[in-house]
Amino acid sequence: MAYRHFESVEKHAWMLGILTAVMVSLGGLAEILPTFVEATRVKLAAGGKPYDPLRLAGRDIYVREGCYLCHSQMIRALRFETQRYGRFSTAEESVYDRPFQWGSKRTGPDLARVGGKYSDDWQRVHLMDPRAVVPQSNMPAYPWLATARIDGADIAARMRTLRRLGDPYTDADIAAAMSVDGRTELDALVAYLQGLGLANGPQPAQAGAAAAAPVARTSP
Amino acid sequence: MASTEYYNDRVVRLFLLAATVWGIVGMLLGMYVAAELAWPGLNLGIPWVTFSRIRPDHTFGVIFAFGGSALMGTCYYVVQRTGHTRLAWDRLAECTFWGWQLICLLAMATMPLGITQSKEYAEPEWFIDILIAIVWVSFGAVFFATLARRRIRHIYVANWYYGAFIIAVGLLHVVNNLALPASLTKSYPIYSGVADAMVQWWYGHNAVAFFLTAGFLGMMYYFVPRQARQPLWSYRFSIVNFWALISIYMWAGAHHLMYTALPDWVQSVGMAFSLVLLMPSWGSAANGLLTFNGSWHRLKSDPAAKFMVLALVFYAASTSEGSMMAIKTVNSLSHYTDWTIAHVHSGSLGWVAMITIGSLYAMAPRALGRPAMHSRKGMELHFWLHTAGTLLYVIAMWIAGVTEGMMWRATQPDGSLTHAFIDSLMTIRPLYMVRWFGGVLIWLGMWVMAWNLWYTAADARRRIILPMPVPVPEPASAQTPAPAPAAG
Amino acid sequence: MSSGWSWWVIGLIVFNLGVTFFLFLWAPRAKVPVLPDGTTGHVWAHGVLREGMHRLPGWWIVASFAMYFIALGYLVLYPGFGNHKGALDWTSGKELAAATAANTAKLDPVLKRLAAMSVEAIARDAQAQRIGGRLFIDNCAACHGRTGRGNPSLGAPNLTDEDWLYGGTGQDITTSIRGGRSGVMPPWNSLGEPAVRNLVEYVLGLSGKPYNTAAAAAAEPTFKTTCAACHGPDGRGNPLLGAPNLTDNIWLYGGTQAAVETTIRGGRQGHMPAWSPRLSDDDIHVLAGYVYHLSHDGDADTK
Repeated sequence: MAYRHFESVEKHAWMLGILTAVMVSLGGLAEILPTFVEATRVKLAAGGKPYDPLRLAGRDIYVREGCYLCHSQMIRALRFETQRYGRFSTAEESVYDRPFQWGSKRTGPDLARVGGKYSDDWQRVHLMDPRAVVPQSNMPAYPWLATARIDGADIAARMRTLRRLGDPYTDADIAAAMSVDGRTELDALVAYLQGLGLANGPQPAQAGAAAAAPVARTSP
Repeated sequence: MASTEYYNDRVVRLFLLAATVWGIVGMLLGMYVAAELAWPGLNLGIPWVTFSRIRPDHTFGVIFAFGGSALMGTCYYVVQRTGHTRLAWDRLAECTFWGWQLICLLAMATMPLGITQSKEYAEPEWFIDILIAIVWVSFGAVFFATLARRRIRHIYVANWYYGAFIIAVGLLHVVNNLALPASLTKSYPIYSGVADAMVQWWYGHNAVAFFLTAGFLGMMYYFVPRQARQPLWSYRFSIVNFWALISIYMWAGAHHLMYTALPDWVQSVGMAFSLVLLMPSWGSAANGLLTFNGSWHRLKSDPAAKFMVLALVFYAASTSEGSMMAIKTVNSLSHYTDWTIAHVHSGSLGWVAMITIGSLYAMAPRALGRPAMHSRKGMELHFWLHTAGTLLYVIAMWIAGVTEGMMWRATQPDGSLTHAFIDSLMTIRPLYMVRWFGGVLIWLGMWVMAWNLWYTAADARRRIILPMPVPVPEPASAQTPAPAPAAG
Repeated sequence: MSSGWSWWVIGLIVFNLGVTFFLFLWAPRAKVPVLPDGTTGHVWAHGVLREGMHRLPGWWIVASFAMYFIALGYLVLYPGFGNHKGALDWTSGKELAAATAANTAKLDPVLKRLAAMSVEAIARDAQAQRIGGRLFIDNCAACHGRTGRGNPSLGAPNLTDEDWLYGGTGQDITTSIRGGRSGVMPPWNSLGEPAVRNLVEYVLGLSGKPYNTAAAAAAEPTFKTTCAACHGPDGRGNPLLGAPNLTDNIWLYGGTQAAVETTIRGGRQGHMPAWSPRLSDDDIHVLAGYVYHLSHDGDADTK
């Protein structure tokens, strides 16, 4: 390549712009397209369902409050991680997560399998005042959740939107959204947290839903 | 062509003012959220100042409001002077200023109310995203139209970077924010789970690459040779670095998802490209630093140059750190810990903020028609406050992060885990206080800068700011060597 | 990934690295016109900005070669080129399995040794106490507190005293951890206003706290017919039901008049989740030993 040919890129703004656009597109084309196509094929094992109305409401509260800024929902495939938190997280477990909540920082512990770990009461008290149960915690309190109410119609609208994006909600599922109307946000968030790692995990064929949960940890 | 054409420095001055204000606001928010981590009761029970709601305000405030204003301002300044032409489309350029400020205000008002997509560094909801896209396209239009009417044929390297910054950020923004609204304040992304994670970190990492690196490299390529009063060290080096940097960066996002449910092959590709990425990064830093060869003595008398040199050192340091953290083994330790926070801040406080501050100090007197900044001592003080604060912050978070990583994986000889999770939080808590104090120093430094800029502007207001004439007509032989540059 | 996508990925990787590698080889040699002063002759910003033409630094060229080499080598050895598995046949799953197996090989003998011991014996085993202590803080401390002293806002019992709702033998503790426990006290607000208030006085009296004797006497029949079913006629509780002893002045939810009244009116359904299968049986065994140790500190010291 003679320099004068190359130089024309630096003498023509449109050429510079187009070549730049091409070069910055390569990485995404290679990494995102196949992942996206592949992801549409990831289907839940039998029994996996999208979030029910209460848990969906809870999930959106989790997103709204920004819990992902301090809590991950991703148990990495590392021995010391599975030993502490349980079986590593799989792609199937977050198929209905829009957006994903894997997080990027653990100021608090991972929550991928926190469902059922503590009682509902604990979750409530902890959300209202974390230091009432964990004095060393630096988590903020979320007392306003106890008084804020869920709007069933809003949840139904959200479920319809999710259906348009491909989540398999039936009309009956969406109609059920009105049943959560008036529940507190605290109820919803606790329901969401209590389902983490349980409801969408791959279910072993022989076991019931409850026993299917997380996992052995120090022994295989 | 009119016989006298003037540079449009009005919009540059507006962005300069906005950058200063947002810098103080964004860093105040940073100090506040840092304090909340150390003393968790500080939100006083108010939802919208709770850590998890307001941290996105800090990141948006410093990256997009402060950094964005500084980038757009310097971009307009640089593209005019490297093209010997007035900015195209004055009105549109002014619209990009007000549009960007509106976006920042809207985003920072809605996120604390819980109106968020929860995608890191892309939190604002869909209606703000549409505004961003419109303003960004306008910004690109002004930039490229100005390039198109330049009077110097050869496009200077700073503009390559500004151009890549505009194109790539536009692409990233649109792809990552594709979502279906459920209501005015809530939308769901078209991607879910693994695909969403991949898109988000492709965006997230390249927001760093193109907003916080390519854009600021554009700034560096203009202001460093200018402040060093030397030719840019090597044109050949610019070519290699530019094309490698912009293309390879785009692959590196997967290193944010090591050992996760993302397929192994993507993780490996992300790691491999992150390693190669070290070279154009170091190359760019070297190209800047070596430009000072022969004029290192200027550092003694010019705090702006001092900011720039330290910025480049931090740039080299944090890019090598970044490549190292992309290695799977290292990442398994550093990920999810405060090491990441240390890394981000050595990049943002060390590289981004310092090159910005240096460039603002270099640009402000010229854009305001003054011979120099109001107070050189003020600049010196700012330099030392900022440097000390950054070091305190970064070192505290390094120690915290490595401590967390080591404690999470510490295993007894008998195979049992040594520490409970909460133990790591209790151990690093004092470091959160040190970090906060570092932030205070940095923030005080920003006030010194604001004061200095205010008086520089006041001097300027006392006379009329004379518009800078564009040198027209350009001598036909634009490519022949100019006489040795006059000072300034 | 289909082979089409695999080639797509491979093609893009090779193209991108190829272009940058070509520029890396080409740019230092390209015949760029140079002026005698060593600059390119490109000039901007009123002649202030110029470009030098220095050679690329040797250390940078060497390091770049090394990085390209390492990156390509990495993609040959590890999965990355589309469906290419990598020469080492590495996957994150295999790495995890190997690491887990290696760790299990160390841990298993320890757990087997402890599994063969009784919970009471484990309480005196230093190694078991360390393992159990970590398990306790990561899992149990959220309710029972770091030191095991319980939390009245949850009704989480103090584990360091001698008082046990469901029995304090090693076997009892293991059963509690494994299957969890659920309190089942119903609300008694329906008894009516005076009855409830009288009962509060009666219960306070049982534990030796100051109380209103007349009110307590009035409540005695109600207690004997209603509360005694679980708490026993003398109020000493029933570990089979987890009904607390009311005579020992140890309170799950606090022993103030107000707290007792809340308990009677609303009932209490404190819940401890089942820890099997979240924790393995071996872990639960060790944990039971740790919990046993919490209330038998003194024993351990004397033996």
